[in-house]
Amino acid sequence: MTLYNIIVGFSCTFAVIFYAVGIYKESKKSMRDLNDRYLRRARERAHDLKIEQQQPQPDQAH
Amino acid sequence: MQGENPILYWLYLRRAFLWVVGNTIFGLAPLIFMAFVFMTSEGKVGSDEMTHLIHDGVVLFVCCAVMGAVLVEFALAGFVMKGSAIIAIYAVPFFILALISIDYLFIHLRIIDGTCFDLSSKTSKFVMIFSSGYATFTKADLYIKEDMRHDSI
Repeated sequence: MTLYNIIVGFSCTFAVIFYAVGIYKESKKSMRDLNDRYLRRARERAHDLKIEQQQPQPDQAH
Repeated sequence: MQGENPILYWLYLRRAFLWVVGNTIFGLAPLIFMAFVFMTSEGKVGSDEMTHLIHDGVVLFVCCAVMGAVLVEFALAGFVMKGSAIIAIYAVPFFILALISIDYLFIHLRIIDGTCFDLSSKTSKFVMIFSSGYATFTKADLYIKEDMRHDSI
């Protein structure tokens, strides 16, 4: 069973490395996308607020 | 992910961890129940049943079920992924399943000893640690992707 143990040991090591690399890259990408989306929405809200503030109020127009 | 927003990532990770713990408790309910009986009877009842359950591989198959739950959810969500992520999320759980199945077969064919499924064996330790890690990190990634999708609607 020594050969079997060696094969299993190597396979497990490779599986762990593949998983660690893959999930790290994927999680990093997901978090970056999520942050970009939040930032874009915050910018859009700030832009909308600025436009609203620039528009004259009804009592000021008279 | 750490550089982007570590606090937010930890929140997702905590949520995923709680999901894994909850599912594991439900999956291991028979074993936990027998452990409760064992403790309340001061060791008179339940010892053989617990040993029988562990030797049948209930802990390892619950680990597989938790990994499978995350895998199926990811597959049904239909997110587009590339190279290494596909191997990490879709291929690795099948390797663990194959490892347990081969061990199970070898035990039944009496090629290896039945103690392979003991909680103290290397295979059991590896499968338990890896499956909990897989389920937690993959589920956290799934939560992030789902939040992004719901946010865009």
